[in-house]
Amino acid sequence: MSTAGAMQAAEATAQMPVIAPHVPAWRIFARNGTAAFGAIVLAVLIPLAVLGPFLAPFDPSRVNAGPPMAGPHWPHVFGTDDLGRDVFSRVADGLRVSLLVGFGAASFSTGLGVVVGGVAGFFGRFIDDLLMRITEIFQVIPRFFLGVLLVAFFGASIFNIIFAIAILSWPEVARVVRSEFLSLRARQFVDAARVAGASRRTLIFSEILPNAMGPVVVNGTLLVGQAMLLEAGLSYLGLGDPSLVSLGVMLQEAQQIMRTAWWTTAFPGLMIFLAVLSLNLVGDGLNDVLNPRSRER
Amino acid sequence: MQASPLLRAEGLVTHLFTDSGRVRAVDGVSLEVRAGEAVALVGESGCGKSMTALSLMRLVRPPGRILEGVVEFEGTPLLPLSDAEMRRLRGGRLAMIFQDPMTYLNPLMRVGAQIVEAIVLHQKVSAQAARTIALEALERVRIPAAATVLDYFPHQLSGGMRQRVLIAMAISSRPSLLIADEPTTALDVTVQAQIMQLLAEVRRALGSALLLITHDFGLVAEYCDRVYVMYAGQIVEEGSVFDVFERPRHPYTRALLRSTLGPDKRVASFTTIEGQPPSLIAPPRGCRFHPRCPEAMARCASESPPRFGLGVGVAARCWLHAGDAPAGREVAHG
Amino acid sequence: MAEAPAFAAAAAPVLEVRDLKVHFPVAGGWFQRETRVVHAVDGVSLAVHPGEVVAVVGESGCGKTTLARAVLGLVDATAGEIRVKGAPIIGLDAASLRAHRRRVQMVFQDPFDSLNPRKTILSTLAQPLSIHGIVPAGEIRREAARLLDLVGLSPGEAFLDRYPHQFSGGQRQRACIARAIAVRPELVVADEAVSALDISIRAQILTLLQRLKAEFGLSYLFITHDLGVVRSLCDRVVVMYLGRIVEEGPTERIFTAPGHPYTAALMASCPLPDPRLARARKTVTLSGDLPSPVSPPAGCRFHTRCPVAQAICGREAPPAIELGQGQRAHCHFAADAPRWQAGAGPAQESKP
Repeated sequence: MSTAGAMQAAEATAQMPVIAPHVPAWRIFARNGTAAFGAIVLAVLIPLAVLGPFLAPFDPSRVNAGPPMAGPHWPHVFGTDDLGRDVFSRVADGLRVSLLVGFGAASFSTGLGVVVGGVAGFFGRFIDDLLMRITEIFQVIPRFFLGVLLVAFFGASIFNIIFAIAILSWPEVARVVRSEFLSLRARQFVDAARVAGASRRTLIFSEILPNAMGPVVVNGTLLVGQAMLLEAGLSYLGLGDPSLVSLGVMLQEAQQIMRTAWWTTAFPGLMIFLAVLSLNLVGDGLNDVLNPRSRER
Repeated sequence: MQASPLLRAEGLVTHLFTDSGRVRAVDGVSLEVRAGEAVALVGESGCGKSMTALSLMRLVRPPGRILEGVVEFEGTPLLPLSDAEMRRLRGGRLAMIFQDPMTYLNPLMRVGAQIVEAIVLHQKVSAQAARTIALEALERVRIPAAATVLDYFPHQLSGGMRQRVLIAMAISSRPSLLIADEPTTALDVTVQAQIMQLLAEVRRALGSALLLITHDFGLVAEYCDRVYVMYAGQIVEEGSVFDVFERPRHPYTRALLRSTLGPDKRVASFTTIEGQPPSLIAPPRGCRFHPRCPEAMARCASESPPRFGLGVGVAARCWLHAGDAPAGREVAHG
Repeated sequence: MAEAPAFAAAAAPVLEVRDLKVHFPVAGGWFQRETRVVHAVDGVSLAVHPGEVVAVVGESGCGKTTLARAVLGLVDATAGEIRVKGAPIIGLDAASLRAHRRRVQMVFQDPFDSLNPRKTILSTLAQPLSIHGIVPAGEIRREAARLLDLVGLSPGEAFLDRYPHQFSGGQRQRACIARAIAVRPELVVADEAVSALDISIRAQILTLLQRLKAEFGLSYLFITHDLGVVRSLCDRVVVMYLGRIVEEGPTERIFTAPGHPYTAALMASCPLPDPRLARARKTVTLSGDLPSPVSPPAGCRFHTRCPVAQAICGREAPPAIELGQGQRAHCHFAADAPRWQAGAGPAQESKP
């Protein structure tokens, strides 16, 4: 048998981790290089949009802030348009409107989708059948066409645009949430909570929903980008909110002068591209963080 | 020493290069399987036994990599072979059966077509002849109405039937060695008994050897001739089933056997090994079992014990035997 | 199948199940028009007495897990009665069901699936403690730490704020046991609670369960397919096949003198961790697979695979035959058991 000294030696070199270390979320996120790039781009774009009115050197709607149709030069780093307005200031302002539409529509549709999908997935049976048929009706309607119709019918205010885009996007969220709920409600930890005496509300909000949020957040991030693109499309067709300048509105206005003044379309277009790309990259990175399997690697 | 072994691995090292560090899954494993014998590689989950099997078949995928060692099959070193040569060998003279048959069957292809494909790949026969061989193989694994089963899709078969199909596929090329990785873990006991007996029967008929990777000491005792016990990436003990079960030389084997419950006797109080298997990223210094070992001595914590040969084919990696035998392989094969 | 357990008089049973049936509809055929029924549990009666450990054994698809879930109220019973300490639990309203749940708890099979990955161990343990008001809110943390100490995760305080993914399988199963005993239950249902664990960890968990049983006077209903565990831990065994009980009795009797050919085959299929005994015994393997529980065979449900089946077995469901000491087998030929067991299993020749 062992001597006391041997046991101490054994204790000293025992390297069995009693509890594995907790890997911080940011480290998993940072493992994905492109996601980190997306996050950095967003970290520049979002403050630019929010602080646009304070940062921008000129009032975005001020005519003749500089010489009309001038290329990029100091102090008009993105040049000026045909009315002499500062493109950089207008891009910052437009980005704010576009992101507002993007985040607004994404939160609205995610909220609606979570409720419909959650109820369908948790209760199942005929409630599920009913809600899923309704969801499918929304899914088979051509999205862009319905968007054009809604905005043309109800008027092109920013709220209507957000509403129109949200109405088009929630079915996707509902389907994701429903399938998450369906698989989660059969998991053993949900049964364990039931055995512990948890009420239906506890089961939904404290056991199932937090575990279903991973794909919802990822999907939501992608939805922001999609909504921005949809808004740009609507605006390009002249269905944007006339009182606000979004990036899409800028593209539409610059249609005629695109050939002679490339900067009037290139910079707003680049902003949309950067914002949507980085949102998608961040979505990918969040997928790694929120998928519990990536932790066990 | 008898004729050269069918399969021989010497100093095999396979590590996995993961984000959290280098996992020393197989860390200097030497083993051999002689023609016609049934050998078990037994250990708890995460000890590296499956990775050893994959290394022997050269099926290690990134982030895993075989770093060192020799693997010889029928006298041919496997590690220098080209991928094409290796493919010819796998599923030919060297066959493997896995835990979850569904993973290895194409769900969209009829069972017969899959076996025929495997046969045509390894034998120079026509598709028609291959179908006859497939039918024979299915009959050999005792699948009732084998001709009808050829036209089934995998999902139409039960778990036991699928495993039979996989065995049929494996034996269709008359392999000299079958490597079976937990072939019955997913099955019920009565079906497990059917499959294990079938394997024994098929082996007898074809004269194939078996390397059984398992965690179940019951299966080892019942169906194998020799045993390698693996712990934390290393072989800690080897010997015939009688040696290992009746005179276990390594404290780990002793503790495992005491913890093993069989239907043959009532255990009044369970003997347990405290703690849990170590991380293979940073295994303990010295003997890897010493932090859990009830018989640990001072040197166990600092020096890794070599393999002490303790008779013909019997060896243990434990300092308790430092006085019994000189270290090294020679003694073991005396 | 409807008779009540014979020894109900001895002491009031903690759990009493009478003629329980759980049927599930399955949609089948084109456009789900044709509805069939899975007879998961089809007339099961059993009792667990205070301080007793009862094993329910059988292969997958025999209905043992559904039986456990019905006892916990996780699935609805189609017919029959379940009583806990004499009080019926079928058809209870939400509040009474919650009170019942305090008395019967469960340890699940998969330690990697039975803890909410997004909750700390503290909040997992706090849930039952606060729902049933076991301790005042201010003392939940201390009580949770005490429970963890009790199950060998010590010091408990160090584990409270951790997430399940930081634990090993054995540690998680200990946490699950802590959750089960948190509400001071009288009966713990363990559904394959140790089968996913490695040998060395399994022995640790079994030791823990044995210690807790002695310490708190618990009774266990042990759902398992592992006969080694049954032999070592359980007082009585109930063997199920296709939704029905085929044999029940004291553990030693079931292991040494099984009265039903299925029990005998189960014993013979279980690998023996002893090379000499394993080589000495005559192995008997059942042919074929489990029939579908949608359309179970008529007569004795085992007759399609039974090595000693006769014509009567396909026609008539066998009655329970008393074999003494509380052992009884549902087999027409249970009384002849010693004869067909002579060779450590039913004789192969008797099959036509």
